[in-house]
Amino acid sequence: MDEPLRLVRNVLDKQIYDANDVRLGKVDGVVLLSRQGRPPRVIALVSSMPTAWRRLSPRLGDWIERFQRWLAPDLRVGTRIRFEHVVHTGIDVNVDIDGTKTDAFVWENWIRKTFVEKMPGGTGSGEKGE
Amino acid sequence: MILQLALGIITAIGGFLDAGSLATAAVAGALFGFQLVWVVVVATGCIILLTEMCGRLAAVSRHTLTDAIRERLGFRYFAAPLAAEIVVDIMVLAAEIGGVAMALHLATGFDYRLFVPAVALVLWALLWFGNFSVIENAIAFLGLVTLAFVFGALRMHPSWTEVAHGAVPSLPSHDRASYWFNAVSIVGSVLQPFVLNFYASGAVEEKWRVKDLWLNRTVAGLGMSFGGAIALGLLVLAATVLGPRGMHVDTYEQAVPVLVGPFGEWGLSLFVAALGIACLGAAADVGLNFAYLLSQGFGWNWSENLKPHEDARFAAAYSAAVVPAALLVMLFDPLQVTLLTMALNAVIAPLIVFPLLILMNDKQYLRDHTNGVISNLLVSAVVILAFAVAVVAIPLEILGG
Repeated sequence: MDEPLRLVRNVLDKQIYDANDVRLGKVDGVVLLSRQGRPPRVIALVSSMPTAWRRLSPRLGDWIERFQRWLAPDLRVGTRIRFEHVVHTGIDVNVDIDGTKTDAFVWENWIRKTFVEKMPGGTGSGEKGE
Repeated sequence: MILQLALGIITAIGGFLDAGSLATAAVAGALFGFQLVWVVVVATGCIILLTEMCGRLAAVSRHTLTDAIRERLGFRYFAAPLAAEIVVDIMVLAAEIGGVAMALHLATGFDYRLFVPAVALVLWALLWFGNFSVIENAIAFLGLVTLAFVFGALRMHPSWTEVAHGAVPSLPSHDRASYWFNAVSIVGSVLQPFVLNFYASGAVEEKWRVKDLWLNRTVAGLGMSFGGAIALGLLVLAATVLGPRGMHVDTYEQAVPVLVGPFGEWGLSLFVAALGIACLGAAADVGLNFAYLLSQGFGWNWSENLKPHEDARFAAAYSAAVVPAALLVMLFDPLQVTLLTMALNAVIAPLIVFPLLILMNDKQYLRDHTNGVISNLLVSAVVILAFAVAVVAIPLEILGG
């Protein structure tokens, strides 16, 4: 028997792991599709700092988004993952996609290129001491 | 097992042996003799209890305290401890960088500000190039120099009967505001919120699992007791060396005689080494915790064991924290920054301690390892204590500081 989805308890704010068990971000928001005469349907998870801050104050979220666009105008500010990719919810949310093929790492890559790789020892990969 | 204890010792260095704890224990001992021993004992009991819970949460659920607060209580609650910890972590980091620079000032006589950029650079390099084990073991090993405070106290042959009397709570006979201010400062310097998440993050870095719960209990108990013993040693030294001579501690220089008394000409060198290493260790703790806080709060990849290229946002976070902290301590006196930070620690502690009451009873996270009745009663008492201390911290800072 299908179990009801506890959206706030088991999805919102949880850590998202991709198919390779890599952290993609937190579930900062969910996108619902409203349907006439039927209950709304969850269609996507959103991981995005402005979305998280908007839950506290819309103005704060807008400021964060403007700041991100000022830092890197070409980068997307968040990631959307379609809900059909969700394979498990609970204290974590697992999805069946490869995170590197999403926008989850655009800011990670931007910081890597603009800061980390310019510092000594910033280009090696793997674990320290290897 | 001895190597595993390193997590407890490095966490204790962050909690007990930083600039704040050294300053508050020395001031309390000089002013009130052994009368505030009970506060160190109570604070040690509280931090053992809280770190054991954070370690248990991490070992059973593989989630740190920051993770769990955000996930269980939602972003709207999490934003408050996040904002508070960002500010206080940078201030604590400033106090610790200042503590190392003051140690170098005591060793050389040059202005401490000259050393701040170099200390900040060494700290950054330690975090950038070192992995968790290197930082943990090196600082835990070097931190053993702080045992000088315990051996020093033993060499001064204090009246142990009076010390034992001090372990029983008592009301002040003079300077009430100052007495309670010092009591609150000791609690604030031990119950530092960053210590709890640092310990939980260390448990995840060390890959603790349910089978390691006994290790968690041992490490939390012995590591924090190590810190408590050092703080007690310093308080006893201050009470026996400074108190009878009517000496007060308003600067780090004035605390040096606590080790000159028992160790003679070696006293200054030991004090410099103990202050420098303890503050460097605490700076590494809090610098890492700043990066843990942001990474776990927003779900980024994080581990001190990965090269910066692999977790760029994590590495950028601790790098970014060092700069404002160094600037802050260049502009303001390190001891003043330290004392203000201890009061702020006390103010924000309830935001971080209170969620433990909910999390440690959540079977989704703790499965069969949730708190029992006694643990819940004890942590409730700590939450009440934390709230009480938070309410009186700022008024006492004004009245008695």
